[in-house]
Amino acid sequence: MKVTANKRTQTTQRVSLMALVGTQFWRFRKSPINFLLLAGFLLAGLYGLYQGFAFKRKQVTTITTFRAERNTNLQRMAGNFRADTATTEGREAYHEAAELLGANWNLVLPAFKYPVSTAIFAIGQGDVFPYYYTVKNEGFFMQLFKQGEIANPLRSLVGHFDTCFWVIYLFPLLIVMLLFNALAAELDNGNWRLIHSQGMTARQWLLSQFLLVGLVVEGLFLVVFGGGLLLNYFFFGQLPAISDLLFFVGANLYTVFWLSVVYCINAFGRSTGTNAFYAGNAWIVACIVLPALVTMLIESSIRVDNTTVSRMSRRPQGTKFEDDAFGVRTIRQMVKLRPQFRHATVTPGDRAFYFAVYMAYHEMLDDTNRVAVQSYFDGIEQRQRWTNASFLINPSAAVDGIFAGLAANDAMANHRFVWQTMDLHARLHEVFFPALFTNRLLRESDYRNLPVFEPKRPNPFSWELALNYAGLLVMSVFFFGYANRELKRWVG
Amino acid sequence: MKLLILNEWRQWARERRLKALLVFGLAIGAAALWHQLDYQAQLLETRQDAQQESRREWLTQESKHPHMAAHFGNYAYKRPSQLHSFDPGLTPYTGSSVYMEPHRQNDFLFSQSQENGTGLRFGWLSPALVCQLVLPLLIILFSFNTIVGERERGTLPLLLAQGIGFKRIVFAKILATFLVFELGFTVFFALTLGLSRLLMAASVPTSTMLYVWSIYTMYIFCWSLLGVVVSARFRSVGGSMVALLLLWMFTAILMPRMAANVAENLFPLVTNYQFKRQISVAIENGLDGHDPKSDRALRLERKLLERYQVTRVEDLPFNFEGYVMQQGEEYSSKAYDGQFAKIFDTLEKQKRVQSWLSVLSPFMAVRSLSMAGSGSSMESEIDFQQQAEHFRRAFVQDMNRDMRDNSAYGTFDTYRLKPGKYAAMPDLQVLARSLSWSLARALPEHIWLAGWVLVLLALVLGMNEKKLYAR
Repeated sequence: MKVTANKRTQTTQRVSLMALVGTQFWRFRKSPINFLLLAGFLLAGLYGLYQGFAFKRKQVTTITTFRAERNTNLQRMAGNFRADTATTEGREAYHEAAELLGANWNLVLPAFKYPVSTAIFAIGQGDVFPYYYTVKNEGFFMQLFKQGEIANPLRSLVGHFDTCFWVIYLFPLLIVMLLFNALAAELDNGNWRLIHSQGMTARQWLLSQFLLVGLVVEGLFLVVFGGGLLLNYFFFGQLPAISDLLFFVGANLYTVFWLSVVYCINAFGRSTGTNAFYAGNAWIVACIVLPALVTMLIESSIRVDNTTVSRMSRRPQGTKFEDDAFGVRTIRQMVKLRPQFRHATVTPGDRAFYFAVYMAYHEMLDDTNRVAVQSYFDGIEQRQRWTNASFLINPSAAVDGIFAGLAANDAMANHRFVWQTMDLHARLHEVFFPALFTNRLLRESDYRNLPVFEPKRPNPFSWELALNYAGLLVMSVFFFGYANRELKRWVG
Repeated sequence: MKLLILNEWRQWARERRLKALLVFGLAIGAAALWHQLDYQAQLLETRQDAQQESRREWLTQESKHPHMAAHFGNYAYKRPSQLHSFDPGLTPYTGSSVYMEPHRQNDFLFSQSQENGTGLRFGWLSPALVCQLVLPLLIILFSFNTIVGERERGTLPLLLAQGIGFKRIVFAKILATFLVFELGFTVFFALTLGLSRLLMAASVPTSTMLYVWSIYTMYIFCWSLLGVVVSARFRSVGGSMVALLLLWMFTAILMPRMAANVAENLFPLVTNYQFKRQISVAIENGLDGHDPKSDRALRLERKLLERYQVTRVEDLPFNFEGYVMQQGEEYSSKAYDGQFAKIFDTLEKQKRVQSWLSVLSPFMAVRSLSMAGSGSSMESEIDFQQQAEHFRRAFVQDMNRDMRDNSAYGTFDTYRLKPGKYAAMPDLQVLARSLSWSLARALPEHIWLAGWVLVLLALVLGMNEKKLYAR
């Protein structure tokens, strides 16, 4: 009997809250400024989506053209084996493809980082990192650190106006603007006593307003998010991925977090002026001050020096390569590191011998440089991890970092791409080296065995992401709970 | 007036919230100053060492053929100047070093924005960022209730009843705000310059220092005016604060992003792929697209044989290979120049869009002027790249000339450079540009910043108590 009574009370409360949301909607509708504001925000969201789309389309177009051009070149070279060697042009064409020196120069494989589906929402650092590389036989890092992307410093200075910016900066702003004085406004204009006399508690009043704004924000987000998924499907042939779902969850958690912050300000603030002061400053501190301070602290604590890696572009040269003793020594050394070098020609005077020495030297350089590059990358990745893990004190930048990670548009994604490209470089050697070591010409079958770059999809799940999202949830619950405790003390 | 200003300060001194804000401002300013001084001094040392190391390697390379020596190449590292510790501007977003070798202009790589993670997108803490972004915020929080607060408290009629003119009260409030922040800024700026001079052992011309100081003074005055003007336009303290905060968010956060994105949409930058492709096409098919490389080489050979009345290139009075090498270099340089000109032109157009849009944002105007004054603007970055490129061309030309004049045809494997040749080539010296050079393209921003101040002054002059109470 008692249980039924409780259930009835709960249902009544739920119904009354929903009815209250309806009332709030009626009040919300009365002000045309609110609709203007929402329309403005929706337009900003669509503009952000367009920016992400335009950036992604530019990358996809470039990758498609680049791949087609490189593959055509490889097909042309493979076709050179069928050239008529009785003619000068035919002989030249044949040598271009078959001779080791010519092939070393002309065999260029494409590697590319195709944007993942979530990239449409978060450009992140996608504009400062290369998304395609060319790979030749010679030293990997020598080639790598000559290839960059033309970044636009004028745009990088201020950041992108993408969906991520819309969510990270503008959602909180919208929540602050719509709700900073949800209760204080009624106190200021003296309406609160009237509202309270209808049996309404401060908590119910606030909850109904926050629920309404939460639903409105969710509606706006769904329009843009859905639009992004449709664009992905129709323009890039990409179906929704798990990273999209995680982006969706993250954006919602972040919105709930900001609702809880403003809810808390409302519970403690008693006037519009005070609330404006705290809500405005909360936004500024969370979106501007803390990210800058935390970035500064991370930068000071984790030093990253690029002078070593910046000097890897120089092509090895000198008389040492004409020294037979040096050559034999290098090959023998290399055999220990790469057993395939066991078959290398060690006959001084043979062209293949000098070429093998040259390639062995490049390989050894790569092995040495890899340590420095790994350490350089580790420093950068550590910085990003700390940013992502700073959600307790730096939620905006932490969520932004997680979103960039989901979009594979952060430094870690670039580094993964570099290592995958290095793997392609190693597989190219597997085709080129047997011919070099046995001092034979390349064959058409070698061209058929050339490796093809297959980008590996990163796992969107990570501990950082789980912690970050759980942290947002816990903080939101804390703020709501803390505010509700204060609201219970309100007597009208 | 003096009493009114002192009274305003006395009131501020009583408010705990304002004291806390001031402490926050000082703390963030100190953090920014410490961080940039530490960072830039270390950067200068690292890059100076790297540049010296590159030079040492060049000088100590073994004697070899000039073209091989040219291929050994050199590195150019961008070094921070004294004012970079105040305003690093665009420097974190552009490459920091380049490898210079024959035949090609390599990309400037290793920008700080690649090394810093996504956090940098929220702004890189520097004294300039504090002055451009945080200082106006503090001004807002000090001034949002200057007039509306007196009105709400009912103290404004009391002041007026004492025979003090309304404009005098308004100007006293403006000056009270301006003087506090101007003094704070002046001390902060002087401290930044003094410490960076000490740490980086470099100096900046007095005119540049005065210029940067004066534009920030104007900016502070602008926000002081804005705070008081908005405060006088609203009937409630809350309304005034909301309006000022929204204005700050719009001018300092939204507008710069929108302007940069609109500029990029209007004038998109080519991708590196398109850029490289256009260059290779220009080199292969000729700058006009109808002059293939092979035809050019044949034409060149024929012309030389005719001019020197010989039948074989071996009989020319110089090494034909060296001559061809330099001609090829010059041709590829022309191709690079053409494509780079397009990129710089696009960037210039984007900057112009931003310059014009900065009419809506004093933040954008002061940011652009501050970068120009501090030598961290787009023009300064392009200038460094061009100076490095001139150096590349000079040393490659020097090596090609040696090959042409001192070696015989077909002696690529045997000819070696004479001792002292490497040292004869001077090291890369980057010229510091004058203030007038830096400001040449920043005229609109000067006009907008002055325009904001003048319009706000006009609004203040147009104020009177009757209008205030009529609202």
